[in-house]
Amino acid sequence: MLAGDEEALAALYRRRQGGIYRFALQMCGFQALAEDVTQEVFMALIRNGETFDPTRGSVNAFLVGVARNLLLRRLQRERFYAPIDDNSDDDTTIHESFVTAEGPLDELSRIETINSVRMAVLALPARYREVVVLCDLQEMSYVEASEILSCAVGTVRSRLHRARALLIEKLRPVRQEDVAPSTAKSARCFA
Amino acid sequence: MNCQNFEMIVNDLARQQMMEANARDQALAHTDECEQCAIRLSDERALSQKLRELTSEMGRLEAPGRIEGELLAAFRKQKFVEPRPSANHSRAYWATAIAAAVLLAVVSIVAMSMRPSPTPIAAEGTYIPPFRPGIAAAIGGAEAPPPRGEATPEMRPKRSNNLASYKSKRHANPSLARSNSADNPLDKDALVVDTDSIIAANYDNEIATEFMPVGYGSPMSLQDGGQVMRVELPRSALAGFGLPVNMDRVNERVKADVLVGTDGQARAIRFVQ
Repeated sequence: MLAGDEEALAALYRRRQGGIYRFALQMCGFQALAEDVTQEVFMALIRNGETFDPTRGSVNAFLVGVARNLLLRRLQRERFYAPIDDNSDDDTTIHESFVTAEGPLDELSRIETINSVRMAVLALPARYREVVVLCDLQEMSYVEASEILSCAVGTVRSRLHRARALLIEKLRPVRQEDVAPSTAKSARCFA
Repeated sequence: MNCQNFEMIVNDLARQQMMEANARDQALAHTDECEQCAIRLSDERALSQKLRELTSEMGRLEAPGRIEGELLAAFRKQKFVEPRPSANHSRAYWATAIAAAVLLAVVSIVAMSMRPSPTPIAAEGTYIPPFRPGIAAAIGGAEAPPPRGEATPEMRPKRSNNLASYKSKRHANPSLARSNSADNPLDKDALVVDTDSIIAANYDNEIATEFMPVGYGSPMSLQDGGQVMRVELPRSALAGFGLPVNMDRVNERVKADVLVGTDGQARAIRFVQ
């Protein structure tokens, strides 16, 4: 690719773009930003491909590392802190759920669960969010994640441990509300 | 296994990571005994399940197809644009190299033209501390230098190594300071400084031995004052300091720096290549 082989770039893009795009989307929750970052990652590869050092890690680790740096910079600059707005595609999602084999209620429940988990992940601090995205959502090993994050494997493990504990805490109130939704409301009287 | 050890591996257990079978069995056995750890493992497994659902839900997502087209277009443009900057870069590189070479040549010519013959410098311009016959005897084999004005090439002082001390001496001694006065016999000091700076610039290219004491005098350091002088000695003088001598080149001369104390006695010597 560095020698100007367009087919090589196309092959590399087709193989890696999905992972980069999903990583960006899982990290920021914004489709437009994830698309921008994906494009910028490969543009950076075109412009500065010689900076890739195979002795320091795989191509995937290099690309995800570039994506991470771009994302953190953009998030810091543009303050994309709001969680994902999932109201825009609710209609289509619900419409599609009615034709699934599992039944509409099961599918709605599953979608609700997925959305709650996705929002809980997005609400994590960045250093915890990235280990959850890399290790749990991208299913990378601790070693690969440590190469991308430029930190020790032990740091990845401890951050993941803390991140998962935070996620469990964030997802717990949802279940408690389901169990006893009315008690909290009836306790206060404005009369 | 206790709860603390269980906490350390509960993530790997819930995420179904590879781990030692023994540790896994012990952790599962611990959950049978400890209700808190059983709940903890249950929470972790539920979280892993939810994260897997999210992964499978998002696993189909890909970047829009237009990005590939834009990237390939940019790549083609990059290929066409790239040679032009490299040509400019090459041109600038060669221009800089030629300019540097010309500058170096001019500086060398000026330095050579301003460099006086060795004898006059030794006789008039260079600051030479008193150089007594004892020095030559101490460094073994070299003849004592003649009086000022009659320096021989064999024992010709070429520079004062310690430029800082030399300049401080000049500062302290107005007679050595740079002057435009024509009747000042040390007015060629400017030439000496140029020579020193040129030699100092070459100093980094030299390889030298450690300073070796000369004779049995008390040890001294540069803080005690003194002067380092460059001399040339017969190569056989190396043997006097226990250094190997190449017999094929025994007739050649070798450079050396002699550390001369304030009393004019040679205190130490090092050989320079």
